[in-house]
Parts: sequence; C-alpha cells; structure tokens
Amino acid sequence: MKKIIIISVFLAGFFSSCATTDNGDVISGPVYKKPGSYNFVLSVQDTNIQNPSNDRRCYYKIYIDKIDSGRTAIGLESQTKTFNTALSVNKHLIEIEKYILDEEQGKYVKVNNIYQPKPSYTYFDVMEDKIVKITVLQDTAKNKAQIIVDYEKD
Amino acid sequence: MKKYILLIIMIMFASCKKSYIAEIEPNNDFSSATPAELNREVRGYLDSASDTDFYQLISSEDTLVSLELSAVKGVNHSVEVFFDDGGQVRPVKLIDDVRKSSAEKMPNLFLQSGRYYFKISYGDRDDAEGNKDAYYVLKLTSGEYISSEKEGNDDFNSATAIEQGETFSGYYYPAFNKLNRRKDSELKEEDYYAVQVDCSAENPVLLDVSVTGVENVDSVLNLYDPFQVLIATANNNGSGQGENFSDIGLTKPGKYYVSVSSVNFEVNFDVKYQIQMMVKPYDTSIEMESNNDYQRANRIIDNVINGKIFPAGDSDFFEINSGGSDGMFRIEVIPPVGMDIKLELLDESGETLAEADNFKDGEKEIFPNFYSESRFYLKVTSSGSYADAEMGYAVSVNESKKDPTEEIEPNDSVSSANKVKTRIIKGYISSNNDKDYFLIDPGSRVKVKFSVSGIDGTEFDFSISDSLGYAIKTETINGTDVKVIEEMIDSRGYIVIESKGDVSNFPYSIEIGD
Repeated sequence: MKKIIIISVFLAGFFSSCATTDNGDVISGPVYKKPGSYNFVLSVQDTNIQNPSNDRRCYYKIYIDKIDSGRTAIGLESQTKTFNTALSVNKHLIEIEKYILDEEQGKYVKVNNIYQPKPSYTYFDVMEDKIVKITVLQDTAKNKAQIIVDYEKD
Repeated sequence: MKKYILLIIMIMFASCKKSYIAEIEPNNDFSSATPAELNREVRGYLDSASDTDFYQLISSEDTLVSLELSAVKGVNHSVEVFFDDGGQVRPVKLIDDVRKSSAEKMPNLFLQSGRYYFKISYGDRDDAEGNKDAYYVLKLTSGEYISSEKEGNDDFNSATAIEQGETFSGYYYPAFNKLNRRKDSELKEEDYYAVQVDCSAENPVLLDVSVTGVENVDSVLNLYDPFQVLIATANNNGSGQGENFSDIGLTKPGKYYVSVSSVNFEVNFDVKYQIQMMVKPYDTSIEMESNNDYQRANRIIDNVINGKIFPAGDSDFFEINSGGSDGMFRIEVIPPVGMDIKLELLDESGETLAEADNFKDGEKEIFPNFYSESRFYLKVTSSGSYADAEMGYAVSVNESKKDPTEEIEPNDSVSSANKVKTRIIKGYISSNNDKDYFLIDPGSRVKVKFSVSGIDGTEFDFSISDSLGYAIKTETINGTDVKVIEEMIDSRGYIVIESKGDVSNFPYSIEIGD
C-alpha cells in the first residue's frame, strides 16, 4: 500500500508539471522571439570603466563572413551598442573592430590592436525560427572580451 | 631868354625823381607807414634791434604781385602783409624763411583793390641785430593775373576760386605759414582752392582732382566738403610726383575745397605746380568714392559696376539687393593685371558672411552660389600695396531662382548645414578652404547609399559624419571620379565635403539612395 501511495504521489507530481493547453500541446522552457526584419542581433558593451574621462564615444565595425556589414550605433563605451540584420540560415563568422572618437582629429579612428576586443570573433548558427543574439562584453580593465551567443527571447 | 632857361631847369627838377622810394622814419606803425608803389623799389634799414618798418600801398584794382625782400647780411628778417578791411586791419601773409642773410619772396601775392601794409621786421631766428650799413630792398612787381593761386589763400575763407576743368598754378612757397595755428596743420603753408559744385543725393556727380609733381617736393592733397569736413586725402606718391583724387562722389551742393601743401615743409620757388578739378556726371556703372565702408556702399544697378583700387589700401563697398523671390547670386570680379583681388560678403550689420581669395594676380574671384533674401554687401580690396588710378576691376552680379538641389552658402559648419530634401544635391568648391555641410535626417537608423561625382581638375574629401559632425567614413574624390559609398545613418548625420584642391566653377553632385 505504501508503495502504491508513493508511486501515485510521484506520478501526480510528474503529470502536474506537464501543463497542457486547451489544445493539448505541451509548453516547456523559455519562449524565443521569431525573426521578423532581422534574425541576428549584436550587442556590444565595454565594462569596468572607472572614470568618465575614459568613457569615449565609439562604435564597432562588423564583418560577417569577412564582409563589411556595417556598424553598431554610436554611443559611449559604457553604453550598449547594437546592430541587427537578416542572415541566411547557416553557420556564420562574425568579427568586430572598435573605433573611438578622436576629438582632436575630428573623426573616428580604429583603436590600436592592443586594445581591440579579444577575442574579436565567434562562429554562430542562424536558425529558421529564432533570432540569434550575440552579446560582447569587453572588460576594459582586463582587456578581455566575453562573447555570449544566445537567442532573443519573447 | 633867361626866363626860358630857368623854366626848363625847374621842369627838369620836377620830373627828376629817384628810381626808388626811401623809407621815411619813424615808420614804426600803421599810422606812420611810408607810402610805397607797385613796380618801384623801396629801400630801408633795420638799423636797430627793435626797429620795424611799415609801408603802405594803395591797390587800385585786383592785381597779382611778386614780392621780394632782398637779403641783408647777418639779418634774419620777415615781411608781414596786412589788409585794411574797412577800418579793420587784418593779417594776410607772414613771409619768413627763418634764414639769416636770405631774401624773402612771395611770387603769387594777390592784392584786391584797397590799402595794404607791409611790415618789415626781424624774424624769429637768432637775436635781432641792427644793421645801419646795409639796406634792404622791397620790391612789389605787378603782373597779369592768369589762372593762378591768389596768396594768401591759406584757409577756407581765402580759397582761390577755380572753375572746374580749368588749370591753375601755384607755388610750394614759402616753407612756413607762421599765421597758421590750426592744430592739424600748424605752421604749414597750405594753398586752398574752391570749386562750386551743383549736385544732390538724387543726382550725384564725380570729382577728379590732380596736382602735378614739383621737384624736391612731396605733396599732399586734402579734399573738404561744403561744411569744411575732410572727406579724402591723397598722399600716395613720393617727392617730385603728383597726387590726385579720382571718382570722388559728391552729393551735397556747394563749394568744395582742396588744400595743396608739402609733406615736410619742402619748397620750390622756381617751378609751379598745376592743379585741375574736373566734375563728371555720375555713371551708375562706375563706383563713386568714397565708398570705403558698408554704410557708404554704392548700389549695384544693372548688374555691373567698375571700380579702382586707389590709393593703396583702398576698400570699395557695394550694395546688392535681392530682386524678389530669386535670391541665388553668382558674383564675379575680374581684376586688372597685377591686382590680387580679395572679396568679402557682409550682412546688413557689416558682419562677414563669406570670403573669396583663391586665385592669383590678375585672376578673377567668384562666389558661385550665394543665397540671400535680403540686402548684403560686397567688399573689394587688394592684397599688398597695389594701387592704380587708371586700370580698374569689373564686378558682375547675376541673380537667379534658387535651385532646390543646390547648396546654399554659407554652409560651412554643422550649425549652418543645408538640410537634404532632394535625392540629388549639388555644391561648389568655392574657396580653397571650402567646407560644405549637408544634414541627413531620416528619423531612424538606416543604411544609405551615396553616389558621389567629382569635378574635373580638382579633388575633395567626401565624409559621412555622426550627429555631432565627426567623420565616420571618408573617401577622396579625384577629378571626375564617381564613387559609391554606403554608410549607416543613426537617425541623423551629415555629409561633409572638404576642398583638397583648386576652386572650381563647376559643381559636384551626390545622389542619395537607400
């Protein structure tokens, strides 16, 4: 008897975690945003900036599959700068280059290779029904980048 | 018979007078002045340190007289001339060259009918010492008055009247006018001339004045209006050379005065200068001096005007008015050979809007596309010490309707950027440092394609900038290159064209697409 009760409790718990819709479909885990005009988003941010005088206007130039594909929006290094586009369903390579504003010259100049994000690239897969989101966090103190590949959630 | 001989002897004595007039002492003041005559020598002595000798002359008609007081060894003397003006005795001239043992002369002394006094005394230099042994000779020689200055024409009231177009003569003599105590010309010997001018603001005239050069004399001319206000000075040439005014615009009727003098008290008793004043009708196609600031600018009528840079440092201002709703101006100025012309455009308050100084001597300067809906001014100058009284420059102004695709100068900064409203925009490299800004404002982040066409014979940089005007991408466009450039615009950005080569009369163009 005890065995039956235990098994019954286990089964009740198991089935209650499997919610059903009116249609009888099973929903589990996070819901991903479906692609619209774009299926790829890049978001770049510099972190660990201690002093506003070191927080400069900048953008990141983007190469997808070794082709100049544009750039992120312009913002302070501490701000999140984004870029989005539509890519084919495939594996892709993304590389980024950082440009900062040189006020003396009156233009944006490419940052010295020493201070470019490392790593500055990653491979990723574009799927049919999801928006790839790549987040790059460049730690300016350690001069090291963290690249996170995920999918945009709803 | 004896009676007849006695009669003859008496007649001979009566007709035998001296060839000179001897002073009759005491003649130390006006009331005791010794009578003198024209064309007869007067002899006298300054026989003590305090001696002064007065002579009087009755002039029966207007006469030009050459006065000469001979030198007396060791004596610095002077001659002062007075006129009895209805009981008031006033000084006319003081002649003193401030030199010992030197004669005094006055070649063009004018005597009107009336009584004159001549006072012989010691000059200012050195202590007076009498000389009982050597006499002086005072000579007043009459001559025919023909187109000559009438000394003492030393101020406005005594100016010699001349007819316009006539040539008059005068002397740079004496060196000093000790009666001249005016602050701006103290002790200067100046000859004043006056010409009557009939004109008005509605019917102005132009005045030319010229004075010939005289050896060893560096001359200066001053021109005064009927209110005796100085309106122009000519002192552009050196010793021995003439001076002139050219195309001076006159709008107030009345007597205009010119003073002629030497710069540094130089003299020349032997050679006359010639002076002439010419009044010309005002031609609206010729500048009217003085137009040396924007408040006195000449209006440009009929799109064309000619001017001269004279003397060196001259600035000529012209007023340009928009005819209505057109407002797009092309302004060209062609200089003569040797003139490096410089142009400026100014607004109604005299602030500079644009400048053009891109080409060399003898080459024209242009504002190809200046837009204005209100009055503005063109300033014409020359670099260096250029001046030419004969050869002038030519200004032409053409107004047309504003082309919506064309840039509107000035657009040389973010704040004055032209907003892009058409798919095609055109502009000009109109100066060596020209920079043209165009604002692109799509409202959202978009990628834009630019097709840029260059200009034959020159090059420029094409840049896309962020919303603050900082360049993100730059391409050099050389000659007739056509380049296609794509760039993201973050809601708002600028196209910046920066000159890297020569100025051109032809436009660049930019086609803008998604």
